[in-house]
Amino acid sequence: MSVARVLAGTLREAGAVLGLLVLWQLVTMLLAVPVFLLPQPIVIAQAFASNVDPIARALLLTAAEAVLGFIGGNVLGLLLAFVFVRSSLMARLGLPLAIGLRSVPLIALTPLLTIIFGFGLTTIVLMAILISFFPALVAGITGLRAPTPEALALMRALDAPESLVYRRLRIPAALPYIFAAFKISAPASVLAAMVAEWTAANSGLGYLILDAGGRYRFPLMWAAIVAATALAVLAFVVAAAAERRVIRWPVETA
Amino acid sequence: MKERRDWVWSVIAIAAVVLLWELAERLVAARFPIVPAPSAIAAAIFRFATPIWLNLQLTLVESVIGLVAGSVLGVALAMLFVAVPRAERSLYNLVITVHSIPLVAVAPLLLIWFGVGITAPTIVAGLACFFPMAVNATRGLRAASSSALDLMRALDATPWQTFVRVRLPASLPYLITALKLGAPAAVLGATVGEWLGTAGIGYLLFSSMVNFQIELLWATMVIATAVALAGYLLFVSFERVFLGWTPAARGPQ
Repeated sequence: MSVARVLAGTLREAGAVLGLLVLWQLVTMLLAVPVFLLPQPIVIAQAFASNVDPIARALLLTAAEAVLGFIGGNVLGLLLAFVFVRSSLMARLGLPLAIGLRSVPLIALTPLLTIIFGFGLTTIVLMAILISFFPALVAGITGLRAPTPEALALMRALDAPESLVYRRLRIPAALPYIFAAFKISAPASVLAAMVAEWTAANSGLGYLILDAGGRYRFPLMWAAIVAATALAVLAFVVAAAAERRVIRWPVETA
Repeated sequence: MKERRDWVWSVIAIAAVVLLWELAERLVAARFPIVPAPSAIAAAIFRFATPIWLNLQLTLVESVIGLVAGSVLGVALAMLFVAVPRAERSLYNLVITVHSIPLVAVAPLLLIWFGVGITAPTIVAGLACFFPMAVNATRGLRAASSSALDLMRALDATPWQTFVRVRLPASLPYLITALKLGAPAAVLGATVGEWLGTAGIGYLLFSSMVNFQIELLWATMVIATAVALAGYLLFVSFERVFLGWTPAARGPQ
């Protein structure tokens, strides 16, 4: 794709967003929509400007929690995937448990985690870890098993040591799956951190949204929602950009 | 045959964990009230059966309405995308952006808009299954083989006939995948939507946490998980029964 076309596409999208904002502003202004239903974009922008400090602090905190959880969950998930692929006994015993755990509505688990691990950072980061753990585990197992039997047989015929099979065959085959999982778990860990902040914190974006709503400070609430959305989108965009940088070969993942 | 062996392993693994947990509780941590023994949780489920069932009914209604409405809207959007490719180009990024709005951020807002009641959790449940359905249905409606589409064109079929006879059957495996994702997501969405409300499984979870009713909290958690899992398994069995001809239904899950 040429630079000009990308630029044109971006401009068109910016135009669409701008159009939507203008429409929103006009509708809320002309119909005098009450602020608790839908504040005017200008009012939200003002709330944003006059609360830059608390919003930025909440944003950074939530981002830090999400990043910690994302890293922790992926490290644990990928390590366990490696163990499961190496040992079929562990896989037989562990996979049903992992699948059972995955069907636990994780977000609904927050009250339980709050009781067990208390009010604070541990619970929040743990929640984000749990959310990113399962995509990493599933992607790791599927990906490390993705090489064709022919390719594995060739490695065996060439008498390649196991470490080489992983470096040259299994890990490159797993990367597309792992990056696909990143795209799911990066925004999800932001979400998880925000939910956990409802029950286990009095700081962060999730708490700010709830607190502003509870105090009827609706423009601030909307500003915080916009910030939260921006953070989730940013997480996805970073994961997608990392994928594009690393995966430079054509892939077909099921 | 292999499948049955896998089942045996699953049962062994789960039984082992429950047994170890029970033993640990009895031997070591009998005075550790935050994590009750499995037997205590089972007893709590029976003891609190009435409040759990009353709240569960509400959550079930919200989840089912949310799942149906979210899925229908998701398929409708996919049909629009497939029928009018221009619409996809201009709307796709908007849909992705809306999808990125964290459900957690929306729930308090919906509560303000619709007040305490069944509406807000139902909408959260619907949103939770709308996006998997929209994405999968778009992919599914495009999955028809080009030779089948060519045949329909050669037979001078109307767009509607092509849709019903070719595109829809080809999309079924994708739709069922979306439902397998969407059913637990709907339960989850309804639960989160109820957190700030006054009834439902989500409310029960939240209030038992605040009131430190540990056994009720665990019992509710187990039931919520069972319901989400049942929703998933329901569509897995649908897939086995009605879509036995697709590779996904035959292969290992």
